[in-house]
Amino acid sequence: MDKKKVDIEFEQDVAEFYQSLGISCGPGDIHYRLIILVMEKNGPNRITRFSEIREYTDQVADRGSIGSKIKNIFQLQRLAKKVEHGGYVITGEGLLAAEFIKYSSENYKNIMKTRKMLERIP
Amino acid sequence: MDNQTLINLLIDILINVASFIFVYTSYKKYQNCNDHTKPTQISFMIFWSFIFIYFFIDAVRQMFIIAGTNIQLPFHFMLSIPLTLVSLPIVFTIIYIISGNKYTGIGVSSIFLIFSFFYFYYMIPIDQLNNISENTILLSNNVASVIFISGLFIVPTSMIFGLLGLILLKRIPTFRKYRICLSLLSISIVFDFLFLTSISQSIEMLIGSKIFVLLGVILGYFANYPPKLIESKCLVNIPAID
Repeated sequence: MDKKKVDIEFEQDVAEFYQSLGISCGPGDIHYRLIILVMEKNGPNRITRFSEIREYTDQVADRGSIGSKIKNIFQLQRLAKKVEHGGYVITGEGLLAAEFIKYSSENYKNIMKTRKMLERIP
Repeated sequence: MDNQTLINLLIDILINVASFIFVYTSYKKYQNCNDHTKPTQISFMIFWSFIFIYFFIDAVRQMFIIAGTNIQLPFHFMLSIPLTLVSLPIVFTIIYIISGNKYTGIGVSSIFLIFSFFYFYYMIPIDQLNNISENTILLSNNVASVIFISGLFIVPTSMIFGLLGLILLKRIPTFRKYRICLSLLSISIVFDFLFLTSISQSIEMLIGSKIFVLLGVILGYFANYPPKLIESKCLVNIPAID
């Protein structure tokens, strides 16, 4: 059992932050973030079940939009491949995209740290 | 009446006036502060208060010298108190700004308070306090000197420069960066030359280091009240058309 869990609240904060900068897709899209991070958590050697993705995305979206997003973005751009009904595997491109999403999370943490530091300086 | 003593006294008075103004303006700002900035503002007030106290005692000492009374020992001890304690608000400020936790700041400052106690413990044996010249406070004991220099001087100075470097590397608005960096630089200059003042061997070095302390105070003033030229360069207001 994979112990690493995707922190939905944190990812939502990050997505909202990037949305406030006018970046509404990719790092600013909570659905995109959750899907790619869940797939990356399982890695390229394990099948990611749609139900597993839904455990996270149901808290922020409905089922229909997730399925069409996986088809139109992830499969189309070859970030993930469908290996069976309701089963996907992340590709090399998908791992690059996941790395970028993680980098955007680190960037968000650094920006917040700087903001909090400046708040303490009169 | 010695001209050099008069110059010393004059510089002390100028530094006193400037640092008193800083304490007063910091107090005014403190009343409008939010909860996040209050600890930093209080430690700035304490730092400038220690500078005021140090140069006030030194000014009184110069007046006694002008009057012809040679009482060095009590002044030696009195000056050592603000000198050793001035690093505490610096350490607290930097730790609080970086960590965000004022109790962590208090904890780390307490370690420096322990250094201060050790400094006094090794400095107090009176029979070792000889050859104190009119114009300097000598670090008369080797152990006390090591404690003072390593614990109470080098570490806080390094912390100031560390924070200064951190702020310079961050992406923040130019005007804000100017004010923060100049404040830190002024505190660093005042702190460093305060130390130099305390170990000066000659009157010329003493006056020179006091002039640099005054320069540091002036830089602090420009940090808090930037000149119009700097404001116009940093706060360029290109109006938007909607």
